[in-house]
Amino acid sequence: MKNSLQNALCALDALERNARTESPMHRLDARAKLLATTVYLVTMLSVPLPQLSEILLYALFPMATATLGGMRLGPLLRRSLAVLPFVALIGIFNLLYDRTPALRIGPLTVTEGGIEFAAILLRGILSMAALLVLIGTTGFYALCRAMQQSGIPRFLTVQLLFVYRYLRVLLEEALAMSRACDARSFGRKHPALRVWGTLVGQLLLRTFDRAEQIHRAMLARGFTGRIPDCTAGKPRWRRADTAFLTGWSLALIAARWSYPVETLTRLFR
Amino acid sequence: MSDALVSPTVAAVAGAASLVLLGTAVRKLRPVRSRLHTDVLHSERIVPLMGVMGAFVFAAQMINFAVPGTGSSGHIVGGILLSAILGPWAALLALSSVLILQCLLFADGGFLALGCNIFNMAVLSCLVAYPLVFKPLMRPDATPGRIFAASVLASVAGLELGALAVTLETEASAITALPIGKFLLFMLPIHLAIGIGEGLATGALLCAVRRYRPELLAGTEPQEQPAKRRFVRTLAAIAVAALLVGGSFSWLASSQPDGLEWSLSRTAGTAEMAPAPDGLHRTAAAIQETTAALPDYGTTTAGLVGCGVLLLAAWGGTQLLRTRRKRA
Amino acid sequence: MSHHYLQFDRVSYRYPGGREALRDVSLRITHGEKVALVGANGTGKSTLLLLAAGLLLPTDGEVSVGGIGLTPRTLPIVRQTVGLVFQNPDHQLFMPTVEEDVAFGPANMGLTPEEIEARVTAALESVGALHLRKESPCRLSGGQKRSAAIATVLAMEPSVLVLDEPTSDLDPRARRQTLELLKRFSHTMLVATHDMEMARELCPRMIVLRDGEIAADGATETLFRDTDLLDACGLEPPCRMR
Repeated sequence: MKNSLQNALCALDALERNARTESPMHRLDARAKLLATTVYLVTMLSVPLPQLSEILLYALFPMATATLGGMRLGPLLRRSLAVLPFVALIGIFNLLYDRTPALRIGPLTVTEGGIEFAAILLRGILSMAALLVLIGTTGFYALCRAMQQSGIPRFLTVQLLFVYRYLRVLLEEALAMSRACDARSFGRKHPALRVWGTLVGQLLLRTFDRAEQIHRAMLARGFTGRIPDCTAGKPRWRRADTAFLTGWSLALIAARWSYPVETLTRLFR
Repeated sequence: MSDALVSPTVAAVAGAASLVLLGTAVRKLRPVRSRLHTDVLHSERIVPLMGVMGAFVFAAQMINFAVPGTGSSGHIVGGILLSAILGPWAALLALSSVLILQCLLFADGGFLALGCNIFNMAVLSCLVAYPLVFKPLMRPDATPGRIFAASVLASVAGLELGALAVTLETEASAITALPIGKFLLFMLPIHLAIGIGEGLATGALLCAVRRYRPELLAGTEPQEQPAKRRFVRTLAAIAVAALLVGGSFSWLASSQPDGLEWSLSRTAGTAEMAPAPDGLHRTAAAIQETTAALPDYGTTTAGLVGCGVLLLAAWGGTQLLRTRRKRA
Repeated sequence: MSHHYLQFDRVSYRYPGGREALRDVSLRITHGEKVALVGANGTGKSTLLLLAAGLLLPTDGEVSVGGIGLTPRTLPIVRQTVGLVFQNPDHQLFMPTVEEDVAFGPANMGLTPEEIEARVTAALESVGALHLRKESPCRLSGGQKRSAAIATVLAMEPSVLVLDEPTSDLDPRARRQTLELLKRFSHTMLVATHDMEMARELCPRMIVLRDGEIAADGATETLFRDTDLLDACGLEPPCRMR
């Protein structure tokens, strides 16, 4: 338990650290990156499941943007895989119940369900990767601010910001409590069920206390419910931002409309 | 609720309803210009509370999936827990934001179904189950037993209503030919089991909160009723009926991760029906035919290989770019 | 100017859970005064500071800052006039970089980017933390965090500085640096502290709290000589005076 908490904290840390480096991606306006990623998600996620190869093509976007952003592909892939357990549970029934054979690779028979399952996994990994690149090259605060500027209602943007911030506090408190628990458990792996309720309740309350303090500090400095722009003097929207956004949007929409992989392979046959 | 099951019409209706209710919630939470000092600071105080509860529910929903071995099955909604602490409208906002965040992060269910999901999970538990089941049962001086009872009943009610809503939405979408009766027969008992589990967890947490920080619980003062009163009363009648039906068919579904898919597979006999064509992106006929029919898998293999080669080349390019930049 | 800058008139505060933190507190702090607020734990020091900063509204009585009474409508102005430095800098520093953190206050005030930049530079300079601009707050040492936190408050150009235990959790050097920094400021100051040495060095006037009420209010040196009073309030005089 402690290890996974620690890992989660480190991952959050790494993301924020990434966001403070410099690269062409970092210099782009947050809104451009946000909108491009949105177009990406919409187009990629709307591809019908059996079109596995089309979905695979969409991997180019996170690959390109990650490289532009100075993020290494290996760790990015590794972190995107974190989403697998959740996505697998959604897709598992396609695998188990759709047994119609689809193709043979040597002695193996791949079912339609199998292809759909793979597609679901792939979609999950790709969306996670795109989002990790987005957050890694923008920073969560700037991202929420970009969402606010794009017209997304305040309740969502501010709430998202706080959820992210307090998730960290929650993890830190959970880590502290689990260490304290270990110190008094004499080797017992998990606390008794009876104790769970009190422990989790305490966690909730302590997290809330810290969150309230942080919120008070924000109020004390004039926070009015709108995420303010703290990047004093940094450049606004530039030509590069327009180029990035239109370029990728056109490419993604074209890919979605024309099924390039399928058409090309048909051409070659 | 997943994209494959819902038609754009139903999604739009559910989405619109959710939007309207979310808008109402936002308006209700705006800082009040009142002479009561407590009002202003309460509306300020609720913000971090919403954030914390949102983070909590988000984390809880993730842990749920990652630990199937303990018997926890399906989606913990957390609507009752949130409503008991934040009040129904703030809870609606918090829960919706968590669902939206999950939709984005895990591509869970899809965008089309988001409106349905928000309606089924957030609206029905916060705006129906909470005021109709939980609040009437609660008293400021409630014993732990009463808290547990109220939590369990409200959670079950919320989840059964959600299950019912999913069934109705699926039926209305007319994409699948599932017989509604059989579907219900499997959905309701599963969600009953989930509801009991969630109710117990909620009860335990509320007891702990009440013991140490009672002022955090949203009070039991009378609230103004939402406008659609008659509709709500009808839903309440359905909820009671659902409870009875579900209760009489209860058995535990121990390792089914998601009640919906499990019910589907049992009812339809086979799998997932053929994937629903992506209605929103209907275009030129020729391409559409390729989409609607099951694709030629020979092409698919070739496509996969071609794609793989392309990606490999791209990866090679990125490595080159990296080394070049490092040297620069 | 003879008007009192920070004024409490028979202020009481009861927490939502029912606990009464302050009872019938009246005090007047003049422009430019530096006052220490001492008392055992749980006597209401933090509550008093939160009231002074406009983060809490009194359940009874009136708080006024610079002649403006504290009401729901005047909350924004009071919060701008009074700068509260929290006990735990981790609560105060919540942005990705120190620079953005210091800019948070002025950004909320709706200033132009140039004005914000000027204030950030000025604030960081006055605490000697200009070189920490681009750092992430979580990587700073205790003393650096404390300075950064003070800078975030200074950027709003408050008239009154309210500090909650500014020297707690600091190593001796950081403590000395913080103390010297505070001595340089000319703001009206109210400092809650357990550090009796600092109280003696920094503040000519001292208010002693006990069980939510004011037990004494007078010259620091005089009060430190009143051993009975200190005993009754659970306090000890600074080492040099024993």
